Amino acid sequence: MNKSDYFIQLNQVTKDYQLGKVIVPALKGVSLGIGLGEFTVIAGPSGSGKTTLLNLIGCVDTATSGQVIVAEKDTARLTEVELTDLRLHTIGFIFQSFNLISVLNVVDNVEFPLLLQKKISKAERKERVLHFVEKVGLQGHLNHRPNELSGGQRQRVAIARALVTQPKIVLADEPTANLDSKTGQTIIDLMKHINETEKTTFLFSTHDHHIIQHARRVIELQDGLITKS
Amino acid sequence: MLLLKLAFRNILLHKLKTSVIGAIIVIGTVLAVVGNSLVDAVSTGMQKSIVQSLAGHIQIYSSHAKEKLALFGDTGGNVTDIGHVRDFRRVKETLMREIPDIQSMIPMGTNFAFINPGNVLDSKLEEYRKNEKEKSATELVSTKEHIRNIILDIQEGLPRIAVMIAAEDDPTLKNSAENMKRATSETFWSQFEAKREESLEFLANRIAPLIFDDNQLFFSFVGTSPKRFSEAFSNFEIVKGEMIPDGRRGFLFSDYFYENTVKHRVARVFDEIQERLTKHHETIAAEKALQDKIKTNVASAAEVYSQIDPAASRIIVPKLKSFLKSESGDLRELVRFFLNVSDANFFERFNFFYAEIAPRIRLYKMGLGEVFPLSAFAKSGFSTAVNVKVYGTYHFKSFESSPIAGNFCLLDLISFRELYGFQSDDRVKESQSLEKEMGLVDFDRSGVDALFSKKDLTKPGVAAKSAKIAVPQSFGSFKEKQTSYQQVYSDSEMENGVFLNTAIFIKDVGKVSQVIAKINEVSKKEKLEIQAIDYNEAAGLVGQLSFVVRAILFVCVAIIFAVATFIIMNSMLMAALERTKEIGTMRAIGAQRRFILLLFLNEASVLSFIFSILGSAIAVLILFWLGRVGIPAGGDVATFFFSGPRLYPAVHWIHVFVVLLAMTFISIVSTQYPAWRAMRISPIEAMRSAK
Ligand SMILES: Nc1ncnc2c1ncn2[C@@H]1O[C@H](COP(=O)(O)OP(=O)(O)OP(=O)(O)O)[C@@H](O)[C@H]1O
Ligand SMILES: [Mg+2]
Repeated sequence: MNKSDYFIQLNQVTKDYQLGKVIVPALKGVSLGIGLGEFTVIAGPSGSGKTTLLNLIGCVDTATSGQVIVAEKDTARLTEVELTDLRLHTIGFIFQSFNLISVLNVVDNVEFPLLLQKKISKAERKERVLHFVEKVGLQGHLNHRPNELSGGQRQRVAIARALVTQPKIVLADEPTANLDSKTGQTIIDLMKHINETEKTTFLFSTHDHHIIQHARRVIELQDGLITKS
Repeated sequence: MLLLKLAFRNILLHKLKTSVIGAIIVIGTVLAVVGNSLVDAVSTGMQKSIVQSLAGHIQIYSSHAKEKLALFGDTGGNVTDIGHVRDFRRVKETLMREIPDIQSMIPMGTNFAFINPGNVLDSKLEEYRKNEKEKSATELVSTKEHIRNIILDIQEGLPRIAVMIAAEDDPTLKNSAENMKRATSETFWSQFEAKREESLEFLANRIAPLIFDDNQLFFSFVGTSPKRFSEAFSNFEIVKGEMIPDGRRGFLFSDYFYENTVKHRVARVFDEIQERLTKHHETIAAEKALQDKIKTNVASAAEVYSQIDPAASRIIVPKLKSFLKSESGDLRELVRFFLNVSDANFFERFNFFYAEIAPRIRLYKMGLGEVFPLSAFAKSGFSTAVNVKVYGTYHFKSFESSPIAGNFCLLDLISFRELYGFQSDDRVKESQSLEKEMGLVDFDRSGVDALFSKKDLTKPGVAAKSAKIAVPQSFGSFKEKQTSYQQVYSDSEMENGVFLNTAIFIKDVGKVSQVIAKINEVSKKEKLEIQAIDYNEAAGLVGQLSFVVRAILFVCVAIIFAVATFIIMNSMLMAALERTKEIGTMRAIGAQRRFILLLFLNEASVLSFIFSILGSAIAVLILFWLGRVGIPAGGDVATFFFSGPRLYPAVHWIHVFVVLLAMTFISIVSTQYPAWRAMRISPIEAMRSAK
């Protein structure tokens, strides 16, 4: 594949954390590319740098050195406002602990990023919200608030919220870690189904071997370096 | 929309934070709105009181005054030295001509006066002379017997006051033991009629001073035109007696002073107990203070029975005996027993006292219609006296029980000028001869200084003692002299002369400061040598009180607002920290920092808006309710500040509006820091695992 065909591209990326006076190297020179439509897993033991890598790709953090290119933009050159805008329009997020807004019900949570986008009409918002809520199978819980839902249901709401803006890529850091394995499996199945029907790119981390088996592509991280891609 | 929705949801769902912030905002709003309305009501009440009870809208006085005018006295309660202005007519005519806004001008002058109405022996001696003149033989015998009884009382009490007599540096008190011996000897009484003049003089000069009953009255008075005064101050009302007839010299007591100082001490205690039992629902059994008062009354029994003459005593003794179901036939014992009241018998005895005893004693040290020498200090510092007739008592309606409004007596301006040291030439001669005949001794300077020194004049005892020396001792004789109090004066006589200060009423109350400026301008141009100040300034210390009250409120409100700021800031900061993950999530999925900032500001504004509206509504309801029932004036002084027995605060919408604005402002200000902290929360926070 040509370099520029990748939607996301990392060149010799390093990331150091400062822990008091000690510098902790979390990524030690990572290069990789991810194309549209992929369904890719980042695997690796705890502390290998999976979260760090996803944060850099998700534009919520910046690299110490090297290039992180997302949608043809070098994230190091973007301002805070531009990075936020990039996240809003091109990236969907699914979190390990679901991270729904506790005071909003299912519909409002899913609608939230659309409201941030501003330009979308009310009718379209309603249509899209309903479409994705149905897609994750929560049409019967429209007015429930997060604390009235099970963990699996909450993660479904989070998936709907991540998809509603029709992002180019959805990032998920250990989306099943807080779920039992059976529920985790159905969530992965759901994501895979969406990948197939909506052509949404998925990039997620996990250390669950059952799940890794379902991935089309597995990137293995070990101590801040890619060992298999 | 989204922001508002989130704000509302957050407010609804974070109940603890909402109720803490809500409570402080409601409390702050209620206190600020109600407090402001109360202070407004009090300060307008006070303004009304000041304007309507002495000051008028504007006061003018000499531009050469040594001190500032303080109508209600300075810090020590003293009359300030404001000099005088020579010609009232010229000032009045010039100002009235130049400034059409002026409605009326009432010339005034304030001074301190003392009257010694004489004690019981003095008055009995006087009565003896009167009876003698009227040749009523039986009365004469009865009065003589009464005088003898009084002297026996004095003798009985002599050992108790021996120390006081020794401490007193008073020539009239020397050799009191010997004098008493003489006054109680048989020979003195058998020769009484033969050596009548000598005997009466002896009793008046040597025995009467042995009665220490603080009879001296000390008070401030305002010399003015009684007619104009009563017309200009619309709340003026005669309570007892009558108004001084126009063009006559005369004197009016302040009713408050008359009831609380001039009235017989024992009767005052009865009045006070009655008021406290009925109005305040106290009981004698429960109130130590009331029991003490009753004890003092029993100890003062002599002040009652020594005033009851033998003839009256023959009537009252059997009545008391049957009323008290007592065996004793001794008046003194009966009175002492009678005065020892309890909850069970108080009202019965109170009624008996006023029905049977009061008419037989001197219920007031000075009766209405009587003529007294009124002594005061002239501008020279020496004391002079004029005879004045007491016509009655007055008060200001709705300030009946205020010791500030109307706590001065009124005297005609002509007599005032005379006391002050300005009088026509023949008056000077006349009063000189009068003083000589009356044996009035001029004060020496030290006596004057003692009186003018910054003593607390609300304690007449202090002043009365030093003044005692100067009081004419041959008290009984003045009535026979030529009496200037009967003289009439013309309006032009009143206008052509000195005044100390003048109350000016203007047609449009809103124009006070303009008229003041105009007066000062005219005064400069026409060389009137006066200065004008508004009622508040003229009220001196009392006028500043309204400012002080407002300042106190401001401090209180400032403290509440500061507390509110602190609490709101704290709660919002807690909210920011609690919601770190949620805020991080919003940031991660695309919310700008601005959005988070607005989220917090919206939440604070909505909170403060809802709760300050609620607080205002409560405040308005409270004020409506208070405005209907009124706040009772707790004490007598409060009636002055309330401008009546009750304060009726009104709702001022401007206060509500300002407080709403202020509350919104402080909640927005106090949310700045928490919002800033929230804004800085990184989207990485969303990624951190829950552990
Ligand atoms: N904020 C931080 N400050 C300091 N060190 C950090 C920070 N975040 C991560 N690290 C360190 O960087 C390395 C990589 O961490 P990272 O969270 O990316 O690992 P991970 O693969 O996601 O692990 P896990 O499977 O446990 O989530 C670890 O050694 C970790 O201790
Ligand atoms: Mg991780």
